[in-house]
Amino acid sequence: MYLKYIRAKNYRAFGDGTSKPVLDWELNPGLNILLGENDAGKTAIVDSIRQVLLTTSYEPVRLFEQDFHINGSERAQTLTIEAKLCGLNPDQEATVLEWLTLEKDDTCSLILHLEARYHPPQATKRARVETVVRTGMNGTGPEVGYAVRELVRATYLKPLRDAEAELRPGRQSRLSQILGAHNDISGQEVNDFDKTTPQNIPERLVGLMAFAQHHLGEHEVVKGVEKDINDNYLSQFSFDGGTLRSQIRITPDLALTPILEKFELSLLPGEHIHRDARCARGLGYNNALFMATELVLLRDGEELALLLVEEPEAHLHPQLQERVMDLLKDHSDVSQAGKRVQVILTTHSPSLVSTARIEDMTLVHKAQAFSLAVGNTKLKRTDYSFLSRFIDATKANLFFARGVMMVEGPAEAILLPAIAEMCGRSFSKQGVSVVNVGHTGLYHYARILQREGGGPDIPIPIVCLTDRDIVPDVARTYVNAPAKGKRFESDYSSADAVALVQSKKERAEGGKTIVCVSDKWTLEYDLAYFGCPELMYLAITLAVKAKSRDERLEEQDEVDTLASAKVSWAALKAAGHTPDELASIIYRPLKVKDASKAIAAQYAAHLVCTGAYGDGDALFAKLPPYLQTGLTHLTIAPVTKSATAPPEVGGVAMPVVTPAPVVPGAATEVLSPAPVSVEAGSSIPAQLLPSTAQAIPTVPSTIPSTPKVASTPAHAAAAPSETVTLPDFMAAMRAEGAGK
Amino acid sequence: MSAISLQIEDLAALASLAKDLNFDDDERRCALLEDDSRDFNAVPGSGKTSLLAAKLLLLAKKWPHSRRGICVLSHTNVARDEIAWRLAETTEGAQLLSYPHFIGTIHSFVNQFFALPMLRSLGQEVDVIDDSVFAEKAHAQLQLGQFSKLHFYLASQHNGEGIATTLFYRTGALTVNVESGALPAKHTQSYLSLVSLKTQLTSFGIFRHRDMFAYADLALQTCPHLVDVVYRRFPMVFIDEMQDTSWDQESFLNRIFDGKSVMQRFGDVDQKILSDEENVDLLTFPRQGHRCITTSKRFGGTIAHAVGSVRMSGAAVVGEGANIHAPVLLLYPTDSATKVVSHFGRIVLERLSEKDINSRDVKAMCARKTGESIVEPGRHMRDYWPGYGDGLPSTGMRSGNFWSLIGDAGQTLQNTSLGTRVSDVRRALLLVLRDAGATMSKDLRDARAIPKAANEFAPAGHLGALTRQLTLSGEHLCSSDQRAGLFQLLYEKLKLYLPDSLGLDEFKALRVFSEPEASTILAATLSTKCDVTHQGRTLLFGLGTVAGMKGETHSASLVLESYGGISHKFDVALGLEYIAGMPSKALERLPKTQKAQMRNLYVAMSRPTALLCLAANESRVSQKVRDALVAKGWHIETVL
Repeated sequence: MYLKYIRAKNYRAFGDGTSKPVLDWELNPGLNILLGENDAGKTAIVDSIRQVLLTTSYEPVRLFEQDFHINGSERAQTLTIEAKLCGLNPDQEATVLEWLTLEKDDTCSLILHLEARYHPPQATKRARVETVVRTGMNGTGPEVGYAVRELVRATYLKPLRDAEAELRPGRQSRLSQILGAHNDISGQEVNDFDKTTPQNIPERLVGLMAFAQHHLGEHEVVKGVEKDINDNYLSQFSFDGGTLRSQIRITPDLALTPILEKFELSLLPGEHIHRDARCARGLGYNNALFMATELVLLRDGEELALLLVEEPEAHLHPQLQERVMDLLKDHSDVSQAGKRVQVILTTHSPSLVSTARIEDMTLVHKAQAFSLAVGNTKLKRTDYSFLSRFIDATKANLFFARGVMMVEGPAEAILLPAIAEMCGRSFSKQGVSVVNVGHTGLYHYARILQREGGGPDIPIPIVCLTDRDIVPDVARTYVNAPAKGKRFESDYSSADAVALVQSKKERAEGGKTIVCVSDKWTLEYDLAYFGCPELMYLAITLAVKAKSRDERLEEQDEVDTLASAKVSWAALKAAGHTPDELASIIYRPLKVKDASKAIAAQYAAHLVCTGAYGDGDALFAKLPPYLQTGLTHLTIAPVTKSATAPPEVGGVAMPVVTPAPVVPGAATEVLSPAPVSVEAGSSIPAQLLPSTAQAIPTVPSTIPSTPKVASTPAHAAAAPSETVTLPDFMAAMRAEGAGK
Repeated sequence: MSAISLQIEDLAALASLAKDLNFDDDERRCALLEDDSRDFNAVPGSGKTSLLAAKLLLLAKKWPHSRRGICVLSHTNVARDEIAWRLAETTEGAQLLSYPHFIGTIHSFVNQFFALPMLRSLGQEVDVIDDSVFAEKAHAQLQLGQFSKLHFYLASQHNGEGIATTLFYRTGALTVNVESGALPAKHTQSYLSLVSLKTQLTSFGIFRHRDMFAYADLALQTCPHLVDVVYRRFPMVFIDEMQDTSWDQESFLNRIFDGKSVMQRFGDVDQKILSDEENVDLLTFPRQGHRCITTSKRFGGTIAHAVGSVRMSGAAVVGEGANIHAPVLLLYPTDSATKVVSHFGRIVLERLSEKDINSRDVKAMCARKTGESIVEPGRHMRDYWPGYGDGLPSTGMRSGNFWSLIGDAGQTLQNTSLGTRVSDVRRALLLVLRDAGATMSKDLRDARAIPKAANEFAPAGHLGALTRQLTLSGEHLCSSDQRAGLFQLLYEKLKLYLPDSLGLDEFKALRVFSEPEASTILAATLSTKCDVTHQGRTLLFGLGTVAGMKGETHSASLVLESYGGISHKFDVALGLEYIAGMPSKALERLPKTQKAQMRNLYVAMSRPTALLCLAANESRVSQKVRDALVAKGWHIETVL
């Protein structure tokens, strides 16, 4: 038996389908991972399941006023939650025969329909919530009975659980439930201890307890204390005819359950400690142990085997998270057959997500659940396993982001967050993640967030950034012509070029995903061509220098190189090149491998963050049109809008800007192509230059992490936005509010 | 298999569980200990129900499963209630009354587990499942313009009324059939109209009981695997009054239980009354290897002998009760037929003690209610009691009539649960609200939904309180001197839900409150009761049909002769030949119709514990028969 779907109307953030969408989530029979940013509604989904199914730990589950959806100032008066359970085995079906719903395909399902009504306080009555749970679609069947209730309880592990306490002995302890439910427990309740032959060791649990009790009772210390209490104290309180006596015992009654409740499950101490020593193990291991315990209980039960885990990553380090994930995967796998456990977990952990299957995931965004199962996304069935291998802990960010930029190289991954930051469109503040798919051409995996089969689009904007890769004719000097086929601008008719761009777009566009194709050639070329020739010239010159020194540039070298580059830039600028000649000259070292693109991007990112090359809308206006389109799609414009800033807010696609707008000053200036020698007296403090340069090229396919940049407060925001710190988060919230 | 078996030592518990019952004989002990599927054919008065209840009590004590139960099926709610009453007396027994067990009628079983879930799956709402309501509504629909041609066609048919009012679905294919008369050919317009009439009533949620078996069949067609599920839930099944099970019902039960659950069926094949139904020859009760319970604790040897002589299967009936009074044959000349019933009353008062009369009912019964045959009386009940049945509300009228729903609580107030009574009251209130055009009653199909709807419509309303008051004191409030107050009460409590424009006087004038007048209710009670005063004592006893008194036990019973119509025989006169031991034809060689009459007579004669009285027209009992009867200890009187 497994949960097939959960539907909710007017429950918390879920509306009634008019102003806000309802919850309608179809589940896998095995593993289901709910992921999404905070406050997206993951816990509300888990709670809705608990509300209608209740839990095996019997904690009180109630509805309160605040559980009723509020729209504006209008609070809904009724809410409904409906859960459908499928795949009951014949015995389970027999158990709840009178509550079953007959399906057209010779199956029976059990549908539980909760309807709650909120009664506001009145003169004589307190506010209250009236809840009825009936069976059948829309609650048309009979009210649920005890038998249904006991069959469908879900096992719930709350976030930040106290695993150690849960495993402690006591009434209704988890361990006692597990032992009591064990197949071989029957017969253990027989007391085979014989008082007349106390030296014989019994075989059954109850007998063993009786044996222990008997011998402990015979122990002289115990006996002595008992006698002391009875004779010297209790006898004082006794009245005639009724002697008051006491007895010291381990357990008051020799039944099986109280004995089982005395057991405790704990991890053995580490190797260097004696195994009987009492020694607390870390929270993480206890948590893992607790989860394992629950799985054992679920696997062997006759009831619904549904495990709800909130944040299983709590207290676990990434590698242990992976092990836990594997455990959950194994138990929820179809190969378990009758012992299969259905698992629903919520997580914020990219580590956990990166080891999971995509088809098991459900993205929760602004109170909408989007299952990524096969058939729900535009991905082909075969794409799934490829994608699972592709998603690592860093790329898994995309599932938690408010916007995603997919890029094809480290240069974009490094440079774009810095540019966006300086344009007042900070990725980190706005929750945008950059995913570098490298040269794999896999950005069509952006289709993961595109819906198949109708339904609303996932409202997460995605921009796939790619190069047009049509080489300008001016670059013929250093780019070889191909043996056959087209490479240069003049090889293409304008219709061909449009078709090429269109085919690139079609690989991934759809829903909230757009593909932005560079207007000319590559990112660096286009930046140099449109509005940032100086920036690119300086950065590439620095990178050339670094390359010549085997990427080991001392601080002083950087300062010197930059100074001389500025001088040569002045000459280049004055040489009277056309914009494409100029851009071609600037770009050349990257093409002929005189410099690393990643290193150049590092320097460019640094330079742009100095603010010397423009900021805000002014910088934005200098960007190549395709970047403008991409940023507009992903981010919200800075609050102080200038006339040139696009009026659209983040997440709304802008009409694609036609290429080659007039870039102020770029076309008329004539610059010398030759690099100028290094001059002293740079305005940039050298110590602020990133020193992580050499690490970058070795990990080209991941988003570069720039911890050292982040350590400098002024540059913290320039780092690609993996971690949203609380102040950033608050700022993003404010920015969003302002955007509205 | 999860069924459990009883051992000899378990029977010891009977001493405390069923103190006043004696199950020491071999037949009954075998029945109690039987742990395999088996049929039991038991004579009237053998205490079948007590035996079954005792067995259930013993099983309940040992029942180990918490998710599997015992299924006990009966035919009538009366039989169900009787078993439930006995089980409720002990804690173990009371457990059988709820989950995981099921005790109820075959109809309610089929409805709850199959038909209603199927209808829910189809999205079909159910307003009422009742043959008479169906007939009434079908009738009303026929008056509509769209059915005018059909109406005309039916009027020209021999049994047009019957065709329209007994439309039912058969099998999962939901083919439309009629119980009475015959359908026109499938290509005709009339046929199509009849189908659309049935479809229309279905969409209103109005069904006949038989329809439910079609939907149950559809349920098994839709989900064939349920056949593999039901027996797991009910590893043991007991069916009471098996002989009354139709083939529709039996074949359904066989499909889900036969060969999978332990199925024990109790009944008396000779008490089978329905005779003109289909597929009678397919019925399997009692199966090969069945056991018999031949001794009756109800009556003594003389009655047993008389009963045994008209028993179709021919097996003897052993009476273990006391021979208190000689059986009486009342002979009447044709013009004295109307005096027979009161004469019987005087005989009862003369012979039976006050204690006998009070401990059990005295009843007079006749196989037929009315009839048109042109033969000498008594042909049917009305020949003996001309006002019989006047003003008697039919069940259909009952579920559609405010006064009978509220004013006649019947036995419902004495039941363990007020459920039946409350649903009557709610239904009455729904009728009132509908008639008054209350918005709340729109779309409200089922009276059970009233509390919820009322709460949604006006949370401050008093519908709950009104329901309670009518449930408990509705009968009193309906009496004619209380009527004004009742209207006031209804109007006040319902005002919130009624249209604003509706005044008290208009409310009173609603159609729902019209017929029948209180006086006719009174007349109705009198038309089925006889009041006799004799020797300073009075006796009030009931009259009714044999079918209606099935399963009852009387202290004294009068069996009134009736005419079998196409059988051309009078039942008592025919039966007396066998009782007297001088039949003109062996029982098993009688034509089908006469056999049916003998079964009826068998049922009727086996009711009394103390006094059996037969009544026949003197012209139809020969002197030879009279002499033989006297020789067998009968007493013969002539009514003058």
